Amino acid sequence: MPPPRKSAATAASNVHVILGTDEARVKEAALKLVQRLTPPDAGDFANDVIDGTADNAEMAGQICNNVIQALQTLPFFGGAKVVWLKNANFLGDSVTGRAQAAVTGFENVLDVLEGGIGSDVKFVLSATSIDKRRSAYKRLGKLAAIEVHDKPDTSKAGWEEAVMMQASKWARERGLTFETGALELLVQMAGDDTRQLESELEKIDLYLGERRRAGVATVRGLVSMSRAGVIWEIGNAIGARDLKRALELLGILVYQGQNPVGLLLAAIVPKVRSLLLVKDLLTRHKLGTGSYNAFNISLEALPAAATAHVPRKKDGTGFNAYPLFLAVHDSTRFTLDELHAAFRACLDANAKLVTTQLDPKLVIERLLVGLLAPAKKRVA
Amino acid sequence: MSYQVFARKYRPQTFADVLGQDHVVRTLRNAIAQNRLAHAYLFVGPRGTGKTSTARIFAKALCCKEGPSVDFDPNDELCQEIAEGRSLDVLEIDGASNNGVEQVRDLREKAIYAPARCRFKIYYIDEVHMLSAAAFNALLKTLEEPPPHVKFIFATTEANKILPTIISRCQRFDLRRIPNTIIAKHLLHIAALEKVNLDEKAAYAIAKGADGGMRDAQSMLDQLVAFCGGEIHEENVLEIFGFTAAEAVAALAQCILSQDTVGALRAVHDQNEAGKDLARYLADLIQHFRTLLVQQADPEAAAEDLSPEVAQQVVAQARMATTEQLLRVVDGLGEVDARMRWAGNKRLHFELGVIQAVQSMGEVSLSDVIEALDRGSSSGGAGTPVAAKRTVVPMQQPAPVVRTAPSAQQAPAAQVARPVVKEEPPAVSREMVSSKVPDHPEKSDEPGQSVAAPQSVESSALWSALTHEVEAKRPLLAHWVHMGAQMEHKPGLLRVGFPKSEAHACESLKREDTRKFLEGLLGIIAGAPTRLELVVDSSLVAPPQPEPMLSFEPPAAAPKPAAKTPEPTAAATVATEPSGDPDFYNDPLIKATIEAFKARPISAKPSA
Repeated sequence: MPPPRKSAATAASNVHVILGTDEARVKEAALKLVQRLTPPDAGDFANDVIDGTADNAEMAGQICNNVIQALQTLPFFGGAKVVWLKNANFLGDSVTGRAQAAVTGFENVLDVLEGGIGSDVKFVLSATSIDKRRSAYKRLGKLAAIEVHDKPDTSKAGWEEAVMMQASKWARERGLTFETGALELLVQMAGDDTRQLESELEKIDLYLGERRRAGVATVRGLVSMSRAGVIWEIGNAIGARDLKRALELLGILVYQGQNPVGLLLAAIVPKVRSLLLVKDLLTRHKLGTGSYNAFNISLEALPAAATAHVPRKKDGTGFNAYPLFLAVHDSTRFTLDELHAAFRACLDANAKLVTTQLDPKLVIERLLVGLLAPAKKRVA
Repeated sequence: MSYQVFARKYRPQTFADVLGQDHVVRTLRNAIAQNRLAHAYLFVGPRGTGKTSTARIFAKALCCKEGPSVDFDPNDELCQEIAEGRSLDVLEIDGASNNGVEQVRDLREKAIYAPARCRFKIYYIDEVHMLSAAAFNALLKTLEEPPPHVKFIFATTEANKILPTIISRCQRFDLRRIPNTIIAKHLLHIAALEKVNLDEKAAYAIAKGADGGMRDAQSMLDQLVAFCGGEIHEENVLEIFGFTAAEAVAALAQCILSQDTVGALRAVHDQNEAGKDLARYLADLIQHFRTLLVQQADPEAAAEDLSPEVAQQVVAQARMATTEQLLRVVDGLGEVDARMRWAGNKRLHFELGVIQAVQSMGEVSLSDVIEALDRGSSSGGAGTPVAAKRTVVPMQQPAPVVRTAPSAQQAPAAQVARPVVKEEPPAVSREMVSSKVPDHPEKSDEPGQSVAAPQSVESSALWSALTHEVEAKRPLLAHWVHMGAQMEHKPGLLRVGFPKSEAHACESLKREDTRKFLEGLLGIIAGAPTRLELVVDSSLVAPPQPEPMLSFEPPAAAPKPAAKTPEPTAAATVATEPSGDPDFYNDPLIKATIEAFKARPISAKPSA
């Protein structure tokens, strides 16, 4: 979870904006801020909380009018007051947000703020999305101290670390401990949504009852998998050559109605491709595998012909090396021939899924057994 | 009182009655016991897994007298109202028909009022994924911070259709598929209460057909009672629902695994004569082979849904074949399944598929042969592994066509489509790879005998002599050894160079066991312990070799097999094209064989 970013605007400003895609953290930060700004012993009279959830543009305009009225109303008993526009959902790039009533309404609010609201009135705005292309955002930036609480970017390396620290902190507060690998699994399964993470911790806490230690099996059995978690878990099982886990996951997901073609293309093929690419590279070249940086540098140092096929980042700035680096260790469990065959088997499975009426689960199960079963397994 | 179907009559009334969802029940019980209730719950799961039942039980536990209590009395008046769906405070809403924003606004407006009789006002919205996006958004605010007396319970079969903002505001529980064993036991329990004599096998057959849904299973039992009365046997279940007995499927699989073509064909015939749907029978057979595969990987998972008798058969059958063989059978049967869908004569395709499956069980894969060769040659060339394994060569002639029901008298097992069995080592002899040693004094499989004359080799030909030995002892290493060229020989050290393009051969030979093998041979040939130094030398040029691997690099121009080293004594410079009919080597089969075995043609002899 990335630390909150704050704009350079004056900290002494009476206008505070808390934004970010992480709804739970935005809400928590806004609540704490409002509590801090509320004059002591002022009670509820010092707070003017306006719910910013608008069903339509007209309602958005009405909410803005209410905010202006609140800002222009003197505090009740002559003290200070806080006006909190809470969870404004009409500032983003949405149908309601683009409507004239919403745009004009918010600009009117900004006009009032720019005109000055007096030192005894403080304004707090919390929202999960705001359209940064609009002039309103730039005007807001000049007026307010903006605090941003975004969800971690799961496409970037190391996002789990920050989320894990947060999860670990919450778990400690509950008196929960986790077996090795269980907390990592929880973070991967819950994904980047802190609210879901908290909810899953609550479930685990309730399930354990008097027991205070959660194992991997508990996490697997109880935590609902996010979409990213599904992909990560199946990929993990393939990388670890854990056929049992892969089949178990497949059974659960197919039974829950997940599309097998989607599972193949989103979860299985990318993993097999990464394994094949990295195995091939390691076979033909010497690459640093001790750390991600060493791997990336050695990959960059290879001649262009050797890396022409390696996937690149969308902006074209370099190799998308992280999935390959993650596959380095896993690739030791497969031979190059096995991975060639695996990639071909993925193609066959895809063809079977889209051109035959075979049971999709059977096709994927057959694929997984072919990929992951030891090559020379003989039970007899 | 009017008749109630089993699914309603035996709907779980307390937490203890909920089957197969222990993780959900335990969490909910603890939440009630510790009074740590969330304001919104989301139950996700396929049909018949207990979403509505769990929601009602949870509502009863919250609203019962002197509650919230885990051990509530289901006969309590409030609980009865909730169970019958007539409580004023527990509102069951069908999300599919109340999916608009107007209905949600209406709900929002009424939610603020206190409950009439119960402690909480509970909104249970079934099929919540059917709500429109606007309706979800209208619900968000209330769902975020509902009045203290309001609890929401949502149920859905398709969680992926619900907005993430809704999911994150709920405590989500994923209800799992109920294992067949639990369903079967519950059916037996119901049958006992209903005074119906239900066969255990029949219970398993119903459970299998219900595919993890308890309600489906109970409905099927209801139907059977209506049809059969007080006695229900497996045959009744199979007959009414068109299922095939698990034993029949296991028996057919047994015939295939034991390569009993006649038995397999007879099984198909019997099922066909009994009026079974062959497509379904085939699907069950494929599923059975899938279970065997899973049994090899995870015995617990495989046994979960099987009756004890079939589970035992599965354990035994999984030992009868390798994973590869099972995969081949599944692939073959899968193709038959695809063909059968559009075929007029399904039985013909089924029978052909079964015969192919029997034959594929007898085939030896190329990897088996290579492994056996490798093992055989490394252990002195006795070639025992494959010989011990019975090399089975599939018949060249097509299998006899069985036109009518096969019987033991008509087609004895030994005659019908029995693969020809050879009890001798594989025909892939070392002639193919090692007969190119005319000057070899004598070839013996024993390393000690074959290189009995130390110091008989000239210093400059040391590597060449070693190459011959390797061809004889470890043919699969020969390909790599041929890439090397002797660079230097000093007492106790032989330095061998490899072209840059063949660095992989160098690396492969450097492996611990391979190096030891080579140094052992070298010591015998040279007459003294000699260390082998393998290096990549860019001045060497490799001979052209077929490259079967997928390469991402563009193919290099074929280099001439000439080393630039002053003393090219090695096989890197040896001409590899044998004399003879060039058409022979252009034959696709020969080419494929050379590529598959990574072999080099040395000589061609007419077969005897």
